[in-house]
Amino acid sequence: MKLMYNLVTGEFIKLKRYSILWIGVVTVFCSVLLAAFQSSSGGTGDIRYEHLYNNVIWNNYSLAFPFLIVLIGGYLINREFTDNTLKTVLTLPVSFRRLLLAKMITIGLLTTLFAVLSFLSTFLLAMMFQYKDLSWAFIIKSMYQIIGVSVGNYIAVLPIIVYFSRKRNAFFTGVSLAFVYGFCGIFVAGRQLTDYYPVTAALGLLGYTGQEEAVYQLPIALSSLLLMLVIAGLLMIRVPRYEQLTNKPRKQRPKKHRNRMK
Amino acid sequence: MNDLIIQTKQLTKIYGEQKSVSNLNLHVRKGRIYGLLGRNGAGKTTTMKMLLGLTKPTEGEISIFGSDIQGAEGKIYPRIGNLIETPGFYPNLTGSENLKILARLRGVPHQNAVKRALEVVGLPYNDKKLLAQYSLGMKQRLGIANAIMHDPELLILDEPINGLDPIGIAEVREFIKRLSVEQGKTILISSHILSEIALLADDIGIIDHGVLLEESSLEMLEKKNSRYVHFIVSSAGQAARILELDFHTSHFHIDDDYSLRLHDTNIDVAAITRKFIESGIDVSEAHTQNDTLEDYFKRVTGGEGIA
Repeated sequence: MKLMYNLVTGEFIKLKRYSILWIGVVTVFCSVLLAAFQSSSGGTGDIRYEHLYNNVIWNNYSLAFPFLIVLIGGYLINREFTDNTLKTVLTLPVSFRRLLLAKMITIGLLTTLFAVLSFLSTFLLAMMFQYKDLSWAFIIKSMYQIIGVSVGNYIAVLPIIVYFSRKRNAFFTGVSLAFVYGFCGIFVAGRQLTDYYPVTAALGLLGYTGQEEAVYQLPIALSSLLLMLVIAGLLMIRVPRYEQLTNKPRKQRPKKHRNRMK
Repeated sequence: MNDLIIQTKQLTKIYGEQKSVSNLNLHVRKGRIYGLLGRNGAGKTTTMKMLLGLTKPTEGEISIFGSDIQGAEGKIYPRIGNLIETPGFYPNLTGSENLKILARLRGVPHQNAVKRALEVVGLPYNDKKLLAQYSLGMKQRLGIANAIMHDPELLILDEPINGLDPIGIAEVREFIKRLSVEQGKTILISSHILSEIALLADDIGIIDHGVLLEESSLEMLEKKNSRYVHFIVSSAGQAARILELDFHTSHFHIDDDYSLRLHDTNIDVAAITRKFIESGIDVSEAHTQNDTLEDYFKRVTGGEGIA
């Protein structure tokens, strides 16, 4: 337990001076700003806080968070390969599985922090522009829905992070996959599949009201997220050894055929 | 023997079809500096990686501190400090920050362990310089600081002087010697630089193409080095005939037309020289010599020497 605490605090120290965190901050702000434009684009002049935060949640799960979580998570793990620090940590000894678990916890905490930032910027924007329906009930609801859906997104992409942590630079593929995975949520949401699809499963669990006529089946949504946790857990149990992790694939050069000009 | 800190039995590592380490029987004794000497690619790093659990042996057994390492990694590895190849650290952090993270994970109890380790290797504590701005020599020093920070009983150092300047090499050498002599630490050190191993090690293992060709104390190796009488004469062929016919020995080696080495040192050199001169052979030089460690290395590996 103490080792895990030390590992997680160590992960936060490692984040010091990492510019990738700014990508996260910018992505969160962009999602909120886009939501503000979407909310005011109707032209009716009826700008409501409920619309704003529902749009923020929509943008977060479909555009920002799945991509962002895998990007930062994958980057944190990949640095252990590129900085050649894996052997230093493994011989302490800290197993790769433990290290990965610590990183997953760190990414979970970071996701929560980004979600809090998303909520705060949404709230401050609403304050600045004096949205009509800005009430305590909506403020609290927006807070737990924005944070809760983001944590749901984190659970949904966990298997992607763990799977692509096994090889140097493999996380780039994971980031692309996560973006498509999140974006497909737009097409799934509102088609009775919201609860089945892990990225959107948290919407029903948290009572998201951004979709018209949505009927949520909470046990299915819960099962969908639990399945993701189980898959991530199984992938973590079967992590390869150091030499398999660090083996660079040998590129075989095609044999040159010497065609002599006559 | 009970004083063995590291012992391997038939340790083998095969990558694909290539045998990187073959049936290695290593014996590192308590409180000694064991120098693993071999050319680049001889199997030194692979051996050390197997000892540290970074690479799984294909065959063979490893015993450290008298216990099989299989299943006892959690107890054994905290007692070891290591430096394998170029040290890996986080480039966005300072040297002190890097060591503080590793100290936390190791559970180093002493508050000033990081400071002391940095002082030992001559690096400043709480310096603002990031690791990305460190030279290779500074990274190597930091790697050594990391290896000694938790006061381990055994140090496994893979080419620790790589990238160090001559003064740095001398400092690290002295420091390693001090650790062994004053604190009784057991040290396994690898190098491809023979002179370094000769200056540091108490015991030497010569590894070539994954095979441990020789394992002995430095003292024994020096004794083993053959003595011979080196003659520079006007005709080495004629001199060889005299040695065979008049002195009844064939224990010599002709280097070229003028140079001959007589390995049978029991024969009186003055008598041989007198006989050569009487037979009309001019003798320019006649002196007794010992093989250098490099000559010995060449002889054992059957190839070129190393630096």
